[in-house]
Amino acid sequence: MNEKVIVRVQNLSTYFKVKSSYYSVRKATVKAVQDVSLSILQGETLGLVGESGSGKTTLGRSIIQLDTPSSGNVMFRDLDLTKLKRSQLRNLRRKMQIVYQDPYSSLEARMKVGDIVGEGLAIHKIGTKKERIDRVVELMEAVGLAPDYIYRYPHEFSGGQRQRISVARALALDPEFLVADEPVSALDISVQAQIIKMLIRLSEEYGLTMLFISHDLSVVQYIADRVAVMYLGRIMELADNETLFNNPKHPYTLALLEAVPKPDPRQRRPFVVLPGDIPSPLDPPSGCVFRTRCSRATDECAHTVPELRELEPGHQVACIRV
Amino acid sequence: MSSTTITAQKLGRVVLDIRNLNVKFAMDTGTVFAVNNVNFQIHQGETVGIVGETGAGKSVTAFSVMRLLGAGGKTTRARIEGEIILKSDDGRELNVLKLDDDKLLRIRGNVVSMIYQEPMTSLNPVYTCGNQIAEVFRKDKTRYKTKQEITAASEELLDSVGIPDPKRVLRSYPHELSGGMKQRVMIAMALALKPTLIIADEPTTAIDVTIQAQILNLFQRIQEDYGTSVMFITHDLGVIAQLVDRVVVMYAGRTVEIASVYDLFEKPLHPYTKGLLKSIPKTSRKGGKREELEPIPGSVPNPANLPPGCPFHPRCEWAIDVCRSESPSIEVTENGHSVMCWRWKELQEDRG
Amino acid sequence: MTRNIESSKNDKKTQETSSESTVHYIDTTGPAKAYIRKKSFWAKVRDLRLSIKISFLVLIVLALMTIFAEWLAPHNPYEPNLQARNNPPSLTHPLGTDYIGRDTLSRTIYALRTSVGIAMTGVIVGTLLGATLGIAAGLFKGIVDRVVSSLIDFFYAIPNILIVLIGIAVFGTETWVLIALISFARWHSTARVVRGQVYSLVTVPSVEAAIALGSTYRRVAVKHLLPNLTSVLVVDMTMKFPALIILESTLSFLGLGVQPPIASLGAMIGDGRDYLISAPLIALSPSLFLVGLVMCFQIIGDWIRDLSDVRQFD
Repeated sequence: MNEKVIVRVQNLSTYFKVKSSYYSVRKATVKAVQDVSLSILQGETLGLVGESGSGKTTLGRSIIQLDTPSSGNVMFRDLDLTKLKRSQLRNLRRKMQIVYQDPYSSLEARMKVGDIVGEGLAIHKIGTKKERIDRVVELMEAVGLAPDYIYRYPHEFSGGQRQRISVARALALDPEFLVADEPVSALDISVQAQIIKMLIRLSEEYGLTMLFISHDLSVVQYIADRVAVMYLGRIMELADNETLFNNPKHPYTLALLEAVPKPDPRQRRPFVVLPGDIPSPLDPPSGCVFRTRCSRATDECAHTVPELRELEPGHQVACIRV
Repeated sequence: MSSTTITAQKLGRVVLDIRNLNVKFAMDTGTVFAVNNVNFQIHQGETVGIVGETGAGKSVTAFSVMRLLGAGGKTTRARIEGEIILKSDDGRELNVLKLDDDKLLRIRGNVVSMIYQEPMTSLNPVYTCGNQIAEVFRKDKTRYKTKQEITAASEELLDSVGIPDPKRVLRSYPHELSGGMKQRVMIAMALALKPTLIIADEPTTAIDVTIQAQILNLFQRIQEDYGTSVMFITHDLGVIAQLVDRVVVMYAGRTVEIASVYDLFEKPLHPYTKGLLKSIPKTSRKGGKREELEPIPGSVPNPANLPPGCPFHPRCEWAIDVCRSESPSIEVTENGHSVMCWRWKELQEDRG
Repeated sequence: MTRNIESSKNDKKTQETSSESTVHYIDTTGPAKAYIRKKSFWAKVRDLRLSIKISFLVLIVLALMTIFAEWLAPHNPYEPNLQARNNPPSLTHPLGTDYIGRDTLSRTIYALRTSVGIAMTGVIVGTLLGATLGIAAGLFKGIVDRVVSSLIDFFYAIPNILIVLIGIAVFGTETWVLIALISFARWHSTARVVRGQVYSLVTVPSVEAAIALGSTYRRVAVKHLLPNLTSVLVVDMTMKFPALIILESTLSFLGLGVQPPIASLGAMIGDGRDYLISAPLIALSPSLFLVGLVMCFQIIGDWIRDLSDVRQFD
């Protein structure tokens, strides 16, 4: 694995304005992503986990500029994506693609599958019509679908097959970076495994760098090289796979891993429960966002936002009580 | 805990007996067998997990037990056959499918109650939680007559499901509460009249992991403190492993395997179960390398479009001719482990 | 970063596990909806409500009359015949004559054509304008949206008639003025509806995916938004048509619309106002056509709206 950094996120924050209630005029701000910095290495699969309100989806989308960051920058190789002009960005989109969570709404219902997969090629005017069809067929086979499916419509396919189509579409432009936003969460378990294996195979074949966003820890553990844990818009812990799952340090990571039910009845124990609810991203707690549910919280946790500091090489934790 | 199998003696009396349940929906062309020849029992104090993917028929089975299929429980399109027998605490046996509407209304909430998947949409947004809980209590006019009695009982109930500040929650509207709280309120409503059986239809699917742990913890406490029987529907095998006593695996409307939770995970007999267990990403890496995932090929079948014979055969690596033409009968082993497969015996012996 | 696609394809065939290579051949269960029996076209037609069938019939007849006006009208609608004023119906003049002897039937047919023509132009131009602005508002949001929304609100607040009257006062009463004003009369209903739809479409992943692929806004609008807007636009156009016909008729009735000798339905009704007792057909026959036209469009429009509400793509 090449150690080169392909995406560098620096102090990225993305805020959304929403109406604070149905009748009010004043807008409230959802602090979806707060001051996040991380680097993604070429060829790796970085897993991004978190619960609702963690900002993981928004972070992924902000990196490829589908949601405009409110501050900070995103370096893709040596280009700052936040400072590009619209036409430059459009051109660069060939290099960064996304696969969405919902297989049912992410494919245009009125377009044939072949046109959907080849849309990127048509947009950037790559190749002749025949060449495009050849490429589409190639992609369909790569994702495990029969070539003659290109004349069918999305509604004729199951969820798993549709996700394959989505992946084929994303790969059409030969991207370097792929954001997979919960690509298997909406699928049945038996199909999830198929898609996960396919993604691993394709990322190796195509040399992809992948940001794999999921709330399902077991899937992330299977597929990711490094993992970042997010909570209320901030990164709590970032480490490589084995370290994070075998030796987590942040209280939230520990609680999260405890909370996942293990599919082994011999290892039954009462559920260790993290009390309270996830605070709203409209009004995150001051200082460390996790302090309201943390067993180790002290007064100081309310005053300083803990920095993501390196405990040991490749293992970063944002907690002052570790 | 040792992997003991639960034998018939250890189980309490039967509270729910589903016999030969068939639910058919009349569609534009032909009939869809949403639930096909389902037989199983739930015993006192037991938590039975129903596992399956889309189209397996688990929700339809659950709704049939309370006769909630279709709008207002009546639909011209569904034809339900078979018997669903509820045996309440005072020894009465009721065939749910043959009850008249009055009796049915009385047993709902009283003898059997239900918890739904989406707490967001299952609570009425225009009534306070207190009002909705009171509605349940009002069904039992003998024990809860006055408003004060109901309020007191409601507070106690919310407290027992771990809701802090019950008074505030009673006054709140559903949208003012978080997802986890709403789910607790729903569970409270289901528990209010101390039913014999609670049906939980994917209660934790739409909730975050840490909140799910709270809810599952609550279920564990309900098992211990109340001894209520629970029919727990889910597609999450982790939840099954941690919470449930026995498991019913459903596929395309049929119960392909029924076993104690230990037997199911250690000695699965049906190819589908085996396949499912191999589809779960293992949470351990041996020396940096992944353990191989072996997904089941193909897609989950459309219940309107099932192949002849065993519904699983298109995806089964051990399918033989008889599998493609004839639907297997259900066979039961000595320790109550039932399986619907022509080849289960030989496949069991092959495993090393 | 190019890869040798050929070689990996060959590799795939040999090293692929059996479960992967059999995947798509197991998946050839065909379209998921294969089990739904398709009703034949005529069976579906037979199932329609009576009112809809009648409406369609009436509209087809009226459409034919509009197109083939020259052949259907027995006389020249503009030719006066002072000898035969206000005649009752006869063989040569099936609906009688008007106050300067023009054949009422012919005049009515031509009036129909005029009114339909003006309204049709208004519908097309208004829809184009409204849809474009609505899409712009929904796609670009921000300032563009605020400007367009304010315009929409403004046009909704002021009565149609007032706007048109001011226009006539400023620009005169030529026919082209009338057509232009009527075209602008209802653009805002389209714009509002389109804007709302675009707002919800833009958040749908399938549309955003096109942006993620690097598509220009224009392409997204044409290839992704418009196809999903058709049902909304069809309903809007079907409802706008009768509104514009009535608007034009009202103006012509008041003498501010088409000028004589051009006939429009409203103009004829206005003309016939003075002769309601002596030659009622002058006012009645265009009224009948007008009512028929508007009612049928309303019925069909409601039906289309019901259709598109129920329609799902999965």
